Amino acid sequence: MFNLKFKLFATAAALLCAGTAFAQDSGPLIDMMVKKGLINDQEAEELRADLVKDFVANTSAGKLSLGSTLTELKIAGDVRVRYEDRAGELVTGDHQERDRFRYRFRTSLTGKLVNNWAFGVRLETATGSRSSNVTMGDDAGPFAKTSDGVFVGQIYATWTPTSEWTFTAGRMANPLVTTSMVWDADINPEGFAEQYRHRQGNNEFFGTLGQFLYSTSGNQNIFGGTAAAPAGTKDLIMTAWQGGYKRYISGATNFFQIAPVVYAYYNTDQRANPAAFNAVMTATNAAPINNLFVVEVPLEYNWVAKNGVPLRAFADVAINLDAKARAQKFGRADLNGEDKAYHVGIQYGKASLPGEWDARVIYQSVGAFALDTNLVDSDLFDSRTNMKGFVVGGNYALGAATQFSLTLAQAERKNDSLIAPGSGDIGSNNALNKFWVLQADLNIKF
Amino acid sequence: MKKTFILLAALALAGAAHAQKLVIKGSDTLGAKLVPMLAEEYKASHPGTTFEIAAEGSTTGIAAITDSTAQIGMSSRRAKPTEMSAATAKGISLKPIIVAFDGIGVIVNQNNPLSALTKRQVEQIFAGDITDWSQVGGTAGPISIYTRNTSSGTYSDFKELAMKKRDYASSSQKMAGNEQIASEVAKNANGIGYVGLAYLHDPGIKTAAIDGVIPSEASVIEKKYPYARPTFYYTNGEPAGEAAKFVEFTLSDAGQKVVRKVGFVPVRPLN
Repeated sequence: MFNLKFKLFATAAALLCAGTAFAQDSGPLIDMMVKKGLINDQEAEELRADLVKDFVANTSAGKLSLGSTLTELKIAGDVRVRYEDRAGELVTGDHQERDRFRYRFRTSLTGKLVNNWAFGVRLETATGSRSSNVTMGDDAGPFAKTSDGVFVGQIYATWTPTSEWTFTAGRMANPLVTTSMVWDADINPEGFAEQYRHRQGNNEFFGTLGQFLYSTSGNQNIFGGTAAAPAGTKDLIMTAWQGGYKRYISGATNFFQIAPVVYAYYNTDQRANPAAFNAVMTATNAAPINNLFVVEVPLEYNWVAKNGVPLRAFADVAINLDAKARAQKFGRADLNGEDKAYHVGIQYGKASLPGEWDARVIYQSVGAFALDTNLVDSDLFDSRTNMKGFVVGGNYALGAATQFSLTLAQAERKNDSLIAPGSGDIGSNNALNKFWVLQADLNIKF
Repeated sequence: MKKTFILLAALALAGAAHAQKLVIKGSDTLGAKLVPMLAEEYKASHPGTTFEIAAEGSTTGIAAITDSTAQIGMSSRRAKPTEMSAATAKGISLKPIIVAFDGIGVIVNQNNPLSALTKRQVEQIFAGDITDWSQVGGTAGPISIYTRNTSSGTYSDFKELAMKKRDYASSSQKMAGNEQIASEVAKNANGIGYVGLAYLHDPGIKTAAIDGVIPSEASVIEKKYPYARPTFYYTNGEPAGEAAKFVEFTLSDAGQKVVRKVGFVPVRPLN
């Protein structure tokens, strides 16, 4: 009774009358109208444009007004609920446990702009540099909100003038290739980074320079200051100099990568740098960063097993070239060999798609004077150096957005004649001799 | 004396009024070759007109109309709803005008034994599911993917036409323009990329047939080639003044012959 031509005309009329509802789904229908010769390509484009204009004018989504320089806006984030059991034992045999439920929320807003600029902001729970966790019940009263603040974890601008160069300024995700042995993954350094990456066939070369404001001194040339006591006159700056090489062996999943990096600190003059990191490392204060000139070499090899499962072998070695002086100032010149740290591990599988899982095992040993104790991972060995031990863990993808993770770490002092320095969660008692932690996480990503 | 001065002033003003400047911004696909050639042809019959052409990606062309910094915005893709929204908020009515059709050709190195791919294989390669040529029947070797950068209309059009809107493989390398992609693929035996019809004959590359169809004027007009698309001028409402004349010229037989000469497909059959 009604031929196709009539039906299509009727549909077009309906679309124009009720464009708001159909604007987003009308593409195939308009294409069909063009194919059938009912309208020409130009008329189809005008129809599409009218439908979109109608959509943006009459729907809640369409009323969201965005700047014309914005080309992409993305909201992402994650929620994690954790059970953790952390325990430690002092050299005296005294034992302590810390059993807690925790949660973490992070959400980021990132945008791309014209002319290769971009920006990002990430909000997260908790104030700590090495953790976004909030401990349940850790408030001034039952169900109070005193520890439930939201803080700016990242805020940065990037400029990518070419496909090879990226410049970043602000508080950013760590731009370096590194591991948890040297940098806690929660740390978002503040400052500047310049990155270069170039691929030629199967060879990729990359480099990253970082200038991070470790701590500011506030004013310079302060009123009433004297040459003899110039405290707080210079910002403390940490620099990173990384060069890397990646060799693709077969596709994107079979490659080798090595990325040596040197860390140098500036303005660490013990009279002038900010107080928290001033002076020398002692038995009661591990925060000072005197005599740290660390070279780190992270490397990894990724391949696929015959059964199709991805595998990853990785290692990280580091040495503090100024450890002798750090040990001497600490009062243990005899321990100048505590200058090295290493971390080796292997991972089986990758929990990406629902039902997939992975497992990893790591052995780590860190000399007391090898690394900056303010940066090392806060979970695995309780933010401390002079520790050695194992980490085992794994992930199981429950769904596209959900994952269950389990981590167990067990460590003991590397050198019994020396404290295990660091500001650990099991207590700041540097007489800690043994440590272990179990974490069970439910992760949801969006 | 006074009359002479008034006459000279009037002539100067008339001359200034006659010297029209057209600012055109946007797509590299259109702005690298086609529009500059159209501008040259147009100037031959309109000697008083000057052009300022900036080809930095479709996004910049649509933004230029929204921000009223150009009379014509070049785009190799349709305006997104967010761009329509931004324009509407500023009282701008984005009007699309199809000026040519284009086919996005998938190119490989001329020494690559493969000469045909399926749509599914193209999606899997560019999304990173397939990483070695041996997985699609080629000689074993890691696939190097070259794409346009994110401000390019071709970048988003290819995602929509060929990749079901999936993200590109993280290993893909982003290039500033069609010529750079063709050049990189020509140098890399394991390279794959995509370029507009006008660039398919660059040295060192060859075009892969997609589901058995090679991009050509005929396959694009007949809508048989799967990665075909219209390319646009965007104006604020109906074009006016010199912009209207240039649009009219672009759509005329003379303009469309330039379209064909550059390697695009005219909007209608030409004699």
